[in-house]
Amino acid sequence: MSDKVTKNHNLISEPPLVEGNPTFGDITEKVSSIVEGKAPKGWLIAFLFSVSALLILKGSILYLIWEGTGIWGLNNPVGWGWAIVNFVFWVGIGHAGTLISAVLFLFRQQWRTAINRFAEAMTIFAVMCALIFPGIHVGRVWVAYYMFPIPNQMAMWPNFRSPLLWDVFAVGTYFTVSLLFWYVGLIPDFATLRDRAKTKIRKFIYGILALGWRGSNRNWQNYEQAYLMLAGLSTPLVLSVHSIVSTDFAVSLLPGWHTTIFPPYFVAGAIFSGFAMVMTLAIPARKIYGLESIITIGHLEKMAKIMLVTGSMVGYAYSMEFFIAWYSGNTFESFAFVNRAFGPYWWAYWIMISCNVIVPQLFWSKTLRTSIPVLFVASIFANIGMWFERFVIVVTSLSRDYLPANWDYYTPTIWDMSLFIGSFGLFFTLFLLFLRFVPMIAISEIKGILPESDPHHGEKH
Amino acid sequence: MSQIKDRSKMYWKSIEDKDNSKELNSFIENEFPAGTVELAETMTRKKFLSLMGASMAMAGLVGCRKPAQKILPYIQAPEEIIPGIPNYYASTMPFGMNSFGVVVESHEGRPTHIEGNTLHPSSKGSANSFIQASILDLYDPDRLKNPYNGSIESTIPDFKLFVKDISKSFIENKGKGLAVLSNSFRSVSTKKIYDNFRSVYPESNWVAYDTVSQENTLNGIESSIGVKALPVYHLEKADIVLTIESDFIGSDLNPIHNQKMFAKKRRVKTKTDKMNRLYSVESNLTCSGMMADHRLKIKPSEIYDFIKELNNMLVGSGIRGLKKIQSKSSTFKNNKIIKALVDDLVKNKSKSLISAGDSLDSSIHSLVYLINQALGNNNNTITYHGVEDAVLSSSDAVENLIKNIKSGSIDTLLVLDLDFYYFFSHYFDQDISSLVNIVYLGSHNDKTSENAFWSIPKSHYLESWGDATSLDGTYSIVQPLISPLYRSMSINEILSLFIGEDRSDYEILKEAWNSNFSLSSSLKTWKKTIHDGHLEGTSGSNKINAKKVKTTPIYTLFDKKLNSLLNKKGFDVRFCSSNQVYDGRYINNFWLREASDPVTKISWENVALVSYNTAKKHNVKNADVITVEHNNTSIDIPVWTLPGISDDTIILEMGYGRSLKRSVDRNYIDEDVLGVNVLSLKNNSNSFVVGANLTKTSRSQIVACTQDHHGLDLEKLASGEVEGRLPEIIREANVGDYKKNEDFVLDYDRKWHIPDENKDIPSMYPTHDYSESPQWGMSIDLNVCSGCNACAIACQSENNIPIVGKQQVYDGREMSWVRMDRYFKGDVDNPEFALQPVGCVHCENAPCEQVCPVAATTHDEEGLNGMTYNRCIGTRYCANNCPYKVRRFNYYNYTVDTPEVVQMAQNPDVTVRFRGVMEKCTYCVQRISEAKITAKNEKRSLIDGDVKVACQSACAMDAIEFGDITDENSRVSKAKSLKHDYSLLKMLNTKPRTTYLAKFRNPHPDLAVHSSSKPHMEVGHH
Repeated sequence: MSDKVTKNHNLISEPPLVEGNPTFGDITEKVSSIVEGKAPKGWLIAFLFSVSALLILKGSILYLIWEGTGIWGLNNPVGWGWAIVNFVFWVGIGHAGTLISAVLFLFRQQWRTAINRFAEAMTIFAVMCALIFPGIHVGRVWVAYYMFPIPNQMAMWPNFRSPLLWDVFAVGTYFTVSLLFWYVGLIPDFATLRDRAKTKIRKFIYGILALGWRGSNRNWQNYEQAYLMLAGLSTPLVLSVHSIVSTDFAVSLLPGWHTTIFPPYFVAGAIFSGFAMVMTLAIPARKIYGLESIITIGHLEKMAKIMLVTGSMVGYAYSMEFFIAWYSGNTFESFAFVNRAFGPYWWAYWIMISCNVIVPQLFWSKTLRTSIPVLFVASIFANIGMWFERFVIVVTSLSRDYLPANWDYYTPTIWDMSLFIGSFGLFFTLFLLFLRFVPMIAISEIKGILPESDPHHGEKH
Repeated sequence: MSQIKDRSKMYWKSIEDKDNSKELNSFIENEFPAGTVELAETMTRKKFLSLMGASMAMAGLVGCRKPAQKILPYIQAPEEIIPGIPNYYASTMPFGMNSFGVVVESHEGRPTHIEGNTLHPSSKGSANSFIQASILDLYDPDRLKNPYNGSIESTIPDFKLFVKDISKSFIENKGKGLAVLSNSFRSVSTKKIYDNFRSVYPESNWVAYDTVSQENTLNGIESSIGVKALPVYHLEKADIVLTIESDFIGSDLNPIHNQKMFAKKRRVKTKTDKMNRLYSVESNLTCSGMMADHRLKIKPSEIYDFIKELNNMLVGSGIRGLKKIQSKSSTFKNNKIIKALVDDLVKNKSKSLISAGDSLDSSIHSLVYLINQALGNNNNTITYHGVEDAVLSSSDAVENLIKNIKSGSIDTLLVLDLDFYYFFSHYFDQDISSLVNIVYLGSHNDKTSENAFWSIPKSHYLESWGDATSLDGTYSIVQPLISPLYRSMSINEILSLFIGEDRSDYEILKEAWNSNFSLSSSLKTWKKTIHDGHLEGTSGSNKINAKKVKTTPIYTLFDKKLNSLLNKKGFDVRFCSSNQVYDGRYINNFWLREASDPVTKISWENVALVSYNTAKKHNVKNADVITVEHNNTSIDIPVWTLPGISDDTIILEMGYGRSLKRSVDRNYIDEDVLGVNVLSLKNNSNSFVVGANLTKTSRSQIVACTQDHHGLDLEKLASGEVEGRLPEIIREANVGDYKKNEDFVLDYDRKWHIPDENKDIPSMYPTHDYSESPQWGMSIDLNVCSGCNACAIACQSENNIPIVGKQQVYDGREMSWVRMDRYFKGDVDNPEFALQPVGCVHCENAPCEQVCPVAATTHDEEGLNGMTYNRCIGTRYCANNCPYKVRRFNYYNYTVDTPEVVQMAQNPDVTVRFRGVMEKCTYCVQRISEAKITAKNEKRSLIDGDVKVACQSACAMDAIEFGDITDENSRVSKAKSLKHDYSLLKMLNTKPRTTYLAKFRNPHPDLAVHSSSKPHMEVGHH
């Protein structure tokens, strides 16, 4: 009987989520040692580069505030350039984390545990990068606080009809909830680190971060409930934040922006880019830290499948935009799209199409979607493609709108570029610090998906 | 000392400066050098202004007494000055053979804005861009501020001693070796002093010279009727107008009068209204050419051929008084446009008008006079006016003068307000200052001043008393609005010094007018004259009766010229005056420099204009630098293609490349952008040369063009799209078709199922309540807009719009609140043109307001789309969402280094915007407020005409109407109620308050292409 069951079980079972059949102790040891041991050389080199780029960001922002937004390549029709492109790009990247941790959690997709910590951290840092841009892109940074509904003696109140204001709330909420979610998930692991800590300082810091976690039944019960609730809270945010960001464009009356397809299309694009970024980060990280048994090829394959789905959704949206522009019979609308593909920015459009629509189609093939080099390169292409998607939307639409006498060409300056590079500096600096000081794999959760923690051997009852 | 470092990059003011001398260091460190009492360090700006105010009050208002020349504080506040409320004074801007009556707005004694004088016949209440911008010349920070002896700063008393000294010796030898070079001028007082000068120095040589002169016209008419005279056009009587190389509504001598009168015959209100027909024959593309119903482009050298053909066809149609001209074949044989033209001219005898451009040869002017005479136009649509009180420009005399200077027979040359080195240095191959001592009265530290023996700052016309005579003979008073800012002299003052009188400009004026018009008897008349700005009833006083003339000599002369130009190979190069710098005098006027040219849309510099085919043939792209060579002289200049120019023709604008030494260096303005001086190619008085060569160089440069940025429209995709959009943007019809289809402006909307009235479209948001009066609105008549830029400059002056410099314009960040959109349609070689001024249209349903996160742009209850600068954080979302793209963003702090003296030109009623702030047309909200306060104080409600916005006042075509749209009888309501009123981008349901009146064309019936079957439209250059 038991033989049969085992046999049957083997027939339908998926490959184990953690390879090599480690014990609980192995997992704790493996993940904690990364934080406790010496930093690998690769980390130091990467950190050096990242901090340098961060300094570029700092310098560029200071110069920007000193001199004005004129240092960018903006002009009269093109009032938004790389700053907004970067904002949308980073917010998009910040999508995967919450999707993985919240949505997949609610759907009981247990494979998420290997990458969720990682992805959530990425989300938080990406949103931080994103938040820089709306702050600094305004002409008068020093009064940017006018955007917040702060009661003041000037009797000023923001305009709630403006999508930019919705943005402030949407991204702000998303960031807050994502941070809380991440932190709550971290508490048991911080406690583990506290307990393993050998120096006073570590003990103190991790002690504070662990919030007095004792691992008691009551602790766990509260923890699970809090985690579930936050997951529930985050889930609609995954959909709302990029929908709201898309209204920055969709609510305006600019041909190429004024489209109802934007919210779902932006969300799909965001998930696509988010997973691409997780992949870009996870592939080297699992190699360097020897985590191949935890972040397995199976995880990467699953992510590739999601990219295939969302990439195709994005491709569908691209073709739908074209179709509707033609079908509407509105000349301004159809020109906006023809101009994207064949106008002066044709190259940007075709980079976008190649990276976002054509490249993910490789993942139909099992061989390709389980090949690490292919995955890595494809994920980078997807990142490039998604940046260009935002560029195409923001810049090409603005550069040629209603009255041809206004048309102009936008060319970025060195400062546009330095801020973009600098934002990567911030992102990687934070990410590397995360790898160094925070367990990058959710130790307690991974333990939960080991066979040992499932006494019924997969029989769900 | 620190300022003196890195000399090579600094602007330097004189040789000493370069040599780093001690006194100059201190000179540089003080903006206003020592000795400038009025601007001593203890003088605050406020105090300075109040002193200026006092002096002005005494100078301007009490015309019956000797004006006070001292600056005094308010001991008793002048009655007329109420702080915060501007005063208005009449004055006159002299401009060559013409002068324009102006009304100057003065805030506490500080003139800030110029408008036309409604009482004055040559301005009729409007002002062109030169007049508007002349206020900035007054406050030009780079003006010459002190007399210089060589390169050493000196004083007026020292200069007077010098003049006393030399005049003694010159009086002895009757002026031998003394020469004077001036612009031509027309003024009773200056002419009187001129006569005195000639009698004191009978053997002196006085030469007047203008690069852009009426010499040919005067000579041509003189050889017809025996008197030097200039034509005045009465376009209000002309049904058919032909302009030959004449930009009569643009850069010609009497543009405002012409525009006003032309518009009268051009404006169409109902389908029964008649409209004039304009033919334009020109080599350059001008505002007049863009307005024309039929434009015939020619090569400059083909002009004789054209006139011959016109003459012969008129003879063939039985017009008497003309003779057939014999010659070989003609380029214009069977030309359809000329056929239609002749048909029209014959049918409209004495109701037509032929205007020949001043640049044309005198033999052409004689013949055109003859044709006008034969058509019965003379004394009807054209009157001729004498120029007795003028000193006239003569290119022969200049050539003689140069010869004399070269031969050393001139010892002292008095140069009056004319950059001698700029205009003439290419005639000399040796150092001019070794040949002659130049005494220079000039406004800037230019090449002439640098080399002059003495340089004396010239007073601006708003700083000195004087008078000028207009083209039609109106005697006008030049009234100062402010005491001279620097130690300057007027032309009258310096001349009076030379004849040993040393009197003030006011005394000179008063005396001249007393003796000429015996005004001393009537104080009242004098007062009224000063108040009105001109002597009443003198318009037309110099009219000359046009008479029948002998034809044979005219034809003989013409034949000679006709045959001399046949079969010339190579390029024709035509020289034109600039719409920005005129002849070079406005090279430092950055309002004019930055306003993009009405035709080319290029700002800050000149280019060589060629046709599309020529560019293709010689493989040059826009902004490639080419070498234009003629008679072994050559210049390098960027090339630009423009539709409507003949092949193998190069159009060059004069006046550029005039370098000045500057005392101020500004962050965002590259003052070294000067364009190219093309005068060396133009070796005589002719306006064109033939047989020039064009070669491509390997260089190219940036050219700041405000439209077709970076040649975007060159690609097929874009031009095809514009073709589709133009019927929406510019609605137009042939005036004949209008009678059949009054609703033609709705054709486009109906085709796209856009409702005629946007009333019932549901909105998510509650609509504003616009029921209370007043509700402001504007109407712009595209049918009469000539694109002349007067409105743009008026707006710049009224609303303190910053200057941003060439690089920023190139980057697409020009700040002008009024944008003059230009579209071409049809064939790239012979396109039709359409112009459309676009400022903020004040949408009732404004897309900008909804997206601003901080509510910095909001609607008021009178329908104004307002900007709260203090609240704006600069997200630029409003600009992105504006379908008209009329919002302008301060990308940098453009006003941070506006020199203090330029700040005086700014309107105190309008905020100067900081960087990071969005701005746009406000419908001159400050003027609206002022009118409302005035009406309230007078306990009445606003009436139509209380508010005139700046662009509206400036527009000589009266294309702009502004007022309360709830008042059915207001001019703007009447304009908006016309059948051909339409909203731009109506389908967006923005409900703009500025609407447009459609454009009409009035082609000859034989040439008409009916609106429905018009050829496809295109923009740009293919």
